[in-house]
Amino acid sequence: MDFVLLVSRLQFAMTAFFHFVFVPLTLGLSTLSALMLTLHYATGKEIYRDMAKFWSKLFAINFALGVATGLVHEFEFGMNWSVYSRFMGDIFGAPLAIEALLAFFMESTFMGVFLFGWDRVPKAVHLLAAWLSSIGSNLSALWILIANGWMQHPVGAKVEMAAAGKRAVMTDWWAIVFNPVADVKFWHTTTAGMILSAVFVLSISAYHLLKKQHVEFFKKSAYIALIFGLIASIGEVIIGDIHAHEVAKTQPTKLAAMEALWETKQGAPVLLATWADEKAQKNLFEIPAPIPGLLSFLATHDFNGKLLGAKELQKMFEAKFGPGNYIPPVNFVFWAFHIMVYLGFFFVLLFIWGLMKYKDLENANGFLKVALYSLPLPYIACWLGWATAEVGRQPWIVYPPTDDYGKILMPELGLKTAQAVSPLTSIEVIITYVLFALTFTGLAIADFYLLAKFATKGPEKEPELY
Amino acid sequence: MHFDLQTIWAILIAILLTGYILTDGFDLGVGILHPFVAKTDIERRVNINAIGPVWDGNEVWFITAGGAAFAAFPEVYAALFSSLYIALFIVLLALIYRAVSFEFRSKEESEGWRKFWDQSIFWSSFITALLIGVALGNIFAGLPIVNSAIKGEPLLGFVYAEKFPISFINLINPFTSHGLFGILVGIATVLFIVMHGVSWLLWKTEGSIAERARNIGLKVWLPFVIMYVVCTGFAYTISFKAGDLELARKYLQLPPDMFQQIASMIDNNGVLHHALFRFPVIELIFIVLAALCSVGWLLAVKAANGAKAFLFSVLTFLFAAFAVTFGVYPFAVPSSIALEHSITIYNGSSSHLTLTVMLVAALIFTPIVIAYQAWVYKMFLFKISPESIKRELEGAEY
Repeated sequence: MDFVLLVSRLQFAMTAFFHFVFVPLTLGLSTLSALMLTLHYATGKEIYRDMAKFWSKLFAINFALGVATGLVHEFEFGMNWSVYSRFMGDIFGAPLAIEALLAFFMESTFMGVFLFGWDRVPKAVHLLAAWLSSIGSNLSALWILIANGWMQHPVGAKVEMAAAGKRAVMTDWWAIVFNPVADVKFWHTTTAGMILSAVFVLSISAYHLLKKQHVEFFKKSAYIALIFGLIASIGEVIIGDIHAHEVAKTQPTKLAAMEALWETKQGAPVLLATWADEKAQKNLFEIPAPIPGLLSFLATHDFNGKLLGAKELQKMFEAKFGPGNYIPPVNFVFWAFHIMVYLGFFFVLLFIWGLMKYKDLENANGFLKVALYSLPLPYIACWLGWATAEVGRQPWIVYPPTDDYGKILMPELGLKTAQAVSPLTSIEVIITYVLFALTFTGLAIADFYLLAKFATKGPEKEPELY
Repeated sequence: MHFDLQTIWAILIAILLTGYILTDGFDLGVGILHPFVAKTDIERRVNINAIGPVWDGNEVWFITAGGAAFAAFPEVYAALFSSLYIALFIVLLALIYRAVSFEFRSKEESEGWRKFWDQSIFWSSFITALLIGVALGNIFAGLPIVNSAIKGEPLLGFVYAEKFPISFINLINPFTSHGLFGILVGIATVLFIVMHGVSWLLWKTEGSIAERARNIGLKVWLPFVIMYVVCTGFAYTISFKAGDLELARKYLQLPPDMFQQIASMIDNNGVLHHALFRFPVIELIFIVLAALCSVGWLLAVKAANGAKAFLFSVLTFLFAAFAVTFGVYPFAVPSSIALEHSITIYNGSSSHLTLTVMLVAALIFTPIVIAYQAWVYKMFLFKISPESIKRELEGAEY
């Protein structure tokens, strides 16, 4: 692979990786903090006030790096992917701009009021600010996923010749906004943020409960997290199913990789585990789920539904787009997807277990230990989900619009990742890659240090000051 | 001027960028002033808290300008960001360090920790201001870009043509006219940002910090005016190679009468002097108004009137920005290679539908954003000082 292309891909993946350390927590914890503040103003109880303060402080420490990595992301489209940006800018730029205008301003401005407004602004204003900040965070997820959803399934566009060359132009704005792939991605991602935040709150609460300190405070926090988490994790199972159904319809090569499906099959089973020999295009072993035809059912809502296998898809794409590899790395995508799904079910069980033990939570050491050490798991699930979506899309940066499990609608809209990269020099990309890597790593360590410091310190009365 | 969608969007982006420099500008200024106005730990905390609740929202103006440029002028966004790759990368690094410096600094007692982030606040603010100026100067003087479509390449768009191992060296090469101009504009930008920071500190703080800010303000005015005059004079000497007029007619996609007007300005040697000459009277009025406002600023700082100083630093920048906007219109990024390779607001813009959709969104949401940001500013516009911060810190230990 071309060096500039390779490093540009690594750099974008790295930025996304760090961005996704901070963003899901922002999405969910803003809602949880607002919920706690609501409880405080509704009941007048001090404990909820302290809770809102404690958790929003962790939220603020986490927030700065989410913004910083997001800023890098927005500019990397133009910096490293200039051909992509100019080809797709007519469509892709609009949701990004609206995200900033509609969501970022709301999120950051009202977060300032929420964090600095204690006892300074009227209660109703303070509460409103907390909710507006949370809504702003989640709205930003909506618009960025409308942009991402369009890369997965481009709708409402056509290709034309302009003064600076070929480009895609918008034909139907509402089709882009209500792109079914984008909208299901939004629910999938924000719900994942809620689960992650619930585990985050639960895990830190478990730390203190194991130490038998601030018992009432963290028991109540854990209770809110358990309820919130259970609703979100059950919701996620349902949303995940809808999402997989959309992927099957619109991105058959991704589905084939997610399920290591080489041969076209009717009544295809779900594989619980497998390892593929990608060169020979077959699986070395398979452990199918006991329900026959389950994959066909999930993908097509018919136990006998027909799904195209990777081999046939490869031939189909070659006929349309010329020689090349059109199947994403199967083992990587299969395991990224499957581990994410297994973790998703684990979270449901974790929350149910916690609620069963709730009455005597401070003494349920077994559960508390599991909850404490579960902290990295939702992060891993989020990364793997994102990796499934983006690696599964390869070799395309914009997947040619496809419907009905393999009918390619407008081949000219597809753009390969290899075509999309900026004309940069190797020195330029290696400088930025190394320095971004060092910076992100250093700052993430400083951030984790501060998060750990304030999380283990427990609630205290401190003014909100820089 | 033609009041078509492209022109409206060019004005909107100019407003967004101006909004960014005016809002984030003063907190960049406060960052540059950080080591000079705040000597003790408490004073440093005052200085950071002076911009505490607002810097974050201010930075969103930058993100919005980037997003809007992407949506309305994708060719400009793609060409500029890949051409200015390393410069932009350094700005991004600086903005990242700035964001976390504010957040991290006071969350740990150790002296080394705080010193590190204090340094980081200064350098990140300084570098951001400097490089934004360098980039703007270079863009104004023209980048060596070519339109690949003219060579029959259908996908690449506008590409940086001078292949140094690192294009950044080009931007700050003082032996080229665009590099020299970039450096000069960079210095002028830093000086203005410091002035704007002084305005804010005079407005928002009282006591030792305001006093020191005022002294620095009195010293920084003259160098700023000198740089402003030098940059303006320099701008009038910049010229471009006209190249092939038939290609320019086809690829710049300007309205015919506008193209005619520009073509008629090309002299016998095939040189187009900078478009600044297109509206000489308006230009001159704005340039003089900006200079007058900077005098107003100096008087306000002498009188230690923060609100008035802030108003005048805003006006100084606005008038200078108007002059530049009129100067480059209808070009977005002039090409220093030849006229036909330039990006204009017409050949660089999005489709009619996208511009319309975005305009509707901007018309609905921009007033709302400005309204609530103004409301938040009003709410947090109480004076702070070392004493007030001490009171808050002690009051907390109940």
